[in-house]
Amino acid sequence: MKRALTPQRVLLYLVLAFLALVFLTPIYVMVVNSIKPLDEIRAGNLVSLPLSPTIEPWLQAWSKAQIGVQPTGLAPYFMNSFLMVIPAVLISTVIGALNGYVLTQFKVRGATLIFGALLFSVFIPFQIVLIPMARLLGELGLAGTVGGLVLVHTVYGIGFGTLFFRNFYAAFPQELVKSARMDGAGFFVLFWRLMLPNSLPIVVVNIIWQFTNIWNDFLFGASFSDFDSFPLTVALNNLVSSSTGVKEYNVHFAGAFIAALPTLIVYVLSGKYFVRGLMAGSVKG
Amino acid sequence: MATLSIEKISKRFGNTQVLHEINLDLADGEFLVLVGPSGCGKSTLMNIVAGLEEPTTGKLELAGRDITHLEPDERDVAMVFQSYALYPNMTVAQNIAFPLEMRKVPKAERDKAVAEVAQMLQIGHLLDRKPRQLSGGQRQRVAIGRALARHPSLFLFDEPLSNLDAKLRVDMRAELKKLHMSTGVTTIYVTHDQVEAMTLGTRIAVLKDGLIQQLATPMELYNRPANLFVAGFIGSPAINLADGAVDAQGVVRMAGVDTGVRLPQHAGQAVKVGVRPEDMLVQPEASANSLAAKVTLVEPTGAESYVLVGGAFGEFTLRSAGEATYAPGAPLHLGFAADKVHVFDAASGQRLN
Repeated sequence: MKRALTPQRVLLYLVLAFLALVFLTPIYVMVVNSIKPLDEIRAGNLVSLPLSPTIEPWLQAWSKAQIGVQPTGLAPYFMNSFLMVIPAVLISTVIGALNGYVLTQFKVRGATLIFGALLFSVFIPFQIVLIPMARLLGELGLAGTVGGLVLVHTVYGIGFGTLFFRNFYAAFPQELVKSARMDGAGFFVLFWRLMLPNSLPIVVVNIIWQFTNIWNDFLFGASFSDFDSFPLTVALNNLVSSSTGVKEYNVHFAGAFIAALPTLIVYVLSGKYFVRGLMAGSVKG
Repeated sequence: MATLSIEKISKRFGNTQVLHEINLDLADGEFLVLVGPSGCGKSTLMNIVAGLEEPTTGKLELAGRDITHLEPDERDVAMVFQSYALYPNMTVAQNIAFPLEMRKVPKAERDKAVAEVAQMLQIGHLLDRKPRQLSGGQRQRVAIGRALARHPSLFLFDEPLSNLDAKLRVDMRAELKKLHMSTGVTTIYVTHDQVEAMTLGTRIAVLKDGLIQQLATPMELYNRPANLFVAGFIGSPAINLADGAVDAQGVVRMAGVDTGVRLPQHAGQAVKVGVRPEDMLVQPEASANSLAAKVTLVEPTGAESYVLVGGAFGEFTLRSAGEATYAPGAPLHLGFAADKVHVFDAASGQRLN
């Protein structure tokens, strides 16, 4: 049925178009200015399209800009971020899934209390743990290393991971678990062969969630890393806030975009699962 | 091939006694049906036999081996679940092979077992599919195949047909019976459907409130129900029940009419009198032993018709072969043979005759 174009609908579309504009404008500004020569930006118009587009700012930001001692660009820090994000996400996902599995499928004494404590960890502000964590990383010899950051983010990720997986597994068909137990599947076989392969939606939700949080983290990165182990967010800050020389806005825009790109890609590729998984967890849990 | 003995099994959840000292003995190759309304404890009993729940007290023996405290996979027991419980991430072949794989059966033997089962259940063309690509009936076959493949000593079925549509359920019921006849594996089958219970079981245990009400062959259960509950539960349409009394001479009377049954040892007692719909006979004329009734309505089903009648006794259903040509409101005289009358104590519900 075709809906009549009433004044209400026109208004609705106008509001929606306006909101879309509000969200898209910053991206537009970033993209446009990251491909302008610096004098075009200095001329004053941030919104206009580039007169002579160039990818030079991107190359600068990626491999030439002065961030640490050497003019290396963001590239090595981009690697640092990946070296930090991938293990932290994978480890915290597996531990979160294991926790959810144990808390829902076995009679654990004090399960509610344990779950409550893990849930509470989600609400602890980052700042509170900075000093004890610095101390711990020092004791472990992980201060100023990517490994240290992996540990911090893994520990922080367990709370959310457990929350996601517990709610998902609480709605997991009981008969499947019973059947597998009768077929002879033990603790880990049941987990690897049955639970995990059938939790794709919640695995995706957890990966997106952890990836975004850990990739975008600045505080832990700034607190626990060194010149050679900075994650990308800290390197970007150094690039943008360096106080010497000319402010190369076009390079800054390009750098910021490079930093945002991985999370953007993750969302675009798996956004469908994200919504579906959130629904599965919340409605049935 | 094995015998199962269930000895004084009871189960308590907090303050609720779900099973009261259940005793059951299954002969080798027997097909025992556990039937009862929801909440009667039949599924709990099955879970205890499967090892998925611990009994509070009691002992289980399978083929002479004490299995009371063994893990589910150590019991040599296979189960088919109501939801089929097929592993969604595995193909049909992988599903069937899974219990063998867990028992470290070599690959070649597993493949052979899968082929054998697929042949028996005619699911060979489905082996590479995932469970979600199968229809309800096909899933059911795969679930049975997975249980068959490991040649267990005991089969457990937990309401396996209740997720199927009516037509398929009748087909699968017959197949299950054939399968049992050809494999001869000792089986426990849980259902709330009395037709399934009657058609499949070599013996039936009727459960209510965690107690076995009666354990008997299907026909014994039907012809001589031990109490009011069993009488009402087994049979469709349900048995006709009316209030009655045993007079001073020991004559059992229903609505004042002599039923032909004599119970002098229960003289003066209030009773419930039951007559099955097919044992109610329409008589041409009124007699001392007939009940006066009026037709309320007629329900034709094709092969037979159910005639609902009302009278001093309450409301009864008659089963009459073919088409019944009674007009609503028509008067009838109902008779019955004394040996088809079931008399129960009105207070305890126990059978008296």
